Amino acid sequence: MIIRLSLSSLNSRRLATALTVLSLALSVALLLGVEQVRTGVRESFSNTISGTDLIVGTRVGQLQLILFTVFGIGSTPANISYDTLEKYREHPAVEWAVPFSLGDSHRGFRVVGTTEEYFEKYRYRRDRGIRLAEGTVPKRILDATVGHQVARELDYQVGQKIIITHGISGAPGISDHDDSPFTIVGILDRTATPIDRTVYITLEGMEAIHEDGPPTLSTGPPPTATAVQEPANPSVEDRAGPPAESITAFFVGVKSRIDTLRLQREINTDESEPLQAIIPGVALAELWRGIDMADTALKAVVALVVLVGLLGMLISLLSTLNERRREMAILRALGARPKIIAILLVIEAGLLSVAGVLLGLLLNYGLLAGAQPIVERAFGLALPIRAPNQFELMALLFVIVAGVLAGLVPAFRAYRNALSDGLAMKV
Amino acid sequence: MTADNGDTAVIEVRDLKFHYGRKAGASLVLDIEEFLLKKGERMFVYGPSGCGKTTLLGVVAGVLEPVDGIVRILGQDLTELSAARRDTFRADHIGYIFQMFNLLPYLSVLDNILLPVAMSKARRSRVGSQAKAAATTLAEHLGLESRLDALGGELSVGQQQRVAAARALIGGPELIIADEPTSALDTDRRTAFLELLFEECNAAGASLLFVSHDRTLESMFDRVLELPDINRVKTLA
Repeated sequence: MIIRLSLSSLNSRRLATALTVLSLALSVALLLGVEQVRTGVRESFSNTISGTDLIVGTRVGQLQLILFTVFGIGSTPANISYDTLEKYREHPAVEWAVPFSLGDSHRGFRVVGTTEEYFEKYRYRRDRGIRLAEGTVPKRILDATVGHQVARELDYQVGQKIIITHGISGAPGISDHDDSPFTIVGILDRTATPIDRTVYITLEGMEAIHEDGPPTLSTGPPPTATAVQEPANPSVEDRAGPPAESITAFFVGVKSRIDTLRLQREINTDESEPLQAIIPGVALAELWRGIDMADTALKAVVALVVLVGLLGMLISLLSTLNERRREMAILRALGARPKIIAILLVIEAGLLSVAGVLLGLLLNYGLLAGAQPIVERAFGLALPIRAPNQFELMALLFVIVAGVLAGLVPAFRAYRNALSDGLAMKV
Repeated sequence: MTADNGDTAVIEVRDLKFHYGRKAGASLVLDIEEFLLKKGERMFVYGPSGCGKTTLLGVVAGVLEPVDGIVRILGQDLTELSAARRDTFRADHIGYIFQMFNLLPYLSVLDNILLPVAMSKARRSRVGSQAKAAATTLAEHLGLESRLDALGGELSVGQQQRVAAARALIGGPELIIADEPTSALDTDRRTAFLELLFEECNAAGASLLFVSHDRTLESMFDRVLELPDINRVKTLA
């Protein structure tokens, strides 16, 4: 009965009710949205690389190593020798080791030199491997396989020839390796990781750029223009010797996880060359902690938004209170206790909060469903549509509880009015 | 439980003293030695504005608590009851009609009439399972049958007062209290309204305490009482 009264009363103030619910709903939707983006970012961030147990590079610090190997951010440090990779490939604890070379770019996108094994071993988002949308991974010296975003933004097709620029400058120009046009042989599937913004070539190809000539030739003086008109593009297997003198880093998969720490220590204390081995998960977690500050600020802002939504409801309830004194007097005359009148207002606040939360959920998931593909395309950020997590459920519960508590304020005033007004119609 | 005037007293007020607020020294609003309403009686209480009419009704209805004295309704001394019990007692035994704005504007006429049945077990059990039928019958008697589904706020003042009467009467409360219910009506409608109210009170066997500052209607009542005559507090008048 009381609930029906509340509902009818709210219904009679439809516009104010709708606005109150809407403002609550918006703040709830924002709360959920921020949390979804936050966990989405964190998730896709910490899942940028998985399945790799160690990343080995020169001693530049854990953060820098993870930044340039996984995210393609920051300047490329000194190389390590290829022999080191060979050495650890033979290490009894190592299952696989994949080289990774940086230093060049193609129209603002990073160029990575690596081997076929990289495409087999690299994992992101737990167990997803790199897949080809079309074509193949680079197998010959002047082969290039481009990430999804590279192909899309530059409108590249398989078979097209591209020029690799030395250095990481954005604009093409100053030091284009004009003499070594690469051929796109494959385009990778979308991964929503930095892989999408990477051009992959073979280690030999990378070496070739820096040899300033077709790789099969000697390291003599720069060849003449005629020599490069039809560059040969032999398969990497045809080439003798190591594919490169040095590499930027290498990724290691161990045979047994238990060996990871021991191997890390062993690499870190290797006396033949200053090396550093990092565990990607640990490095990512450290990196995330650095970003977490912004995260906390965001949370505070959202908390304020929710608070404003609740205050809006409180104001709306309080402002109707005076015009509803008549209603209260009628209920009193009909035998309603002052307590009932107070409860009526608390119930109204509760109904508004619940409606706000439900509508907020609806809004949020509606927007999420609509924005998901757009966000994924624009930012490479995967926002999974998932059930609210525990934190979100707690937050929603908090909104409802806080809403009911806010209802206590007008309820208390109504209670006092009911006692002092009695049956007098104070309008 | 029985009043000493036999079982015929619906209201029995003795040595009533009332003032607002809790302070002991506050000036009295009501000081009444005796005030009686017999069963089935229709009493007109006259008094100019500010003489304590509405206050007296509040005391009789159990909303206001007297400082001293006895307020017996149907033999039950309200001063012995807790505030909550007085509220229940009012819901069960008293139908109240305000001067105006009697209805919850967002409920239909039917729902407005049915409110007391929803709020009081005693009145619910008296109408039994026929609450809707009873409400409809009352509405028909009061000429409201075509407006049952209209919202309270959509009615004319006259219609609103008739709905208020139906609401006061449903579930057969023993006492109907009306606080100037006709003051918002024009003269013709006042008489018509009163006739309907009397009819329904008779049919339900309810006693009527009717308060007004307008004496033109007093001839229609069994008994007329001037509040200033029995209230020993004169300063307000």
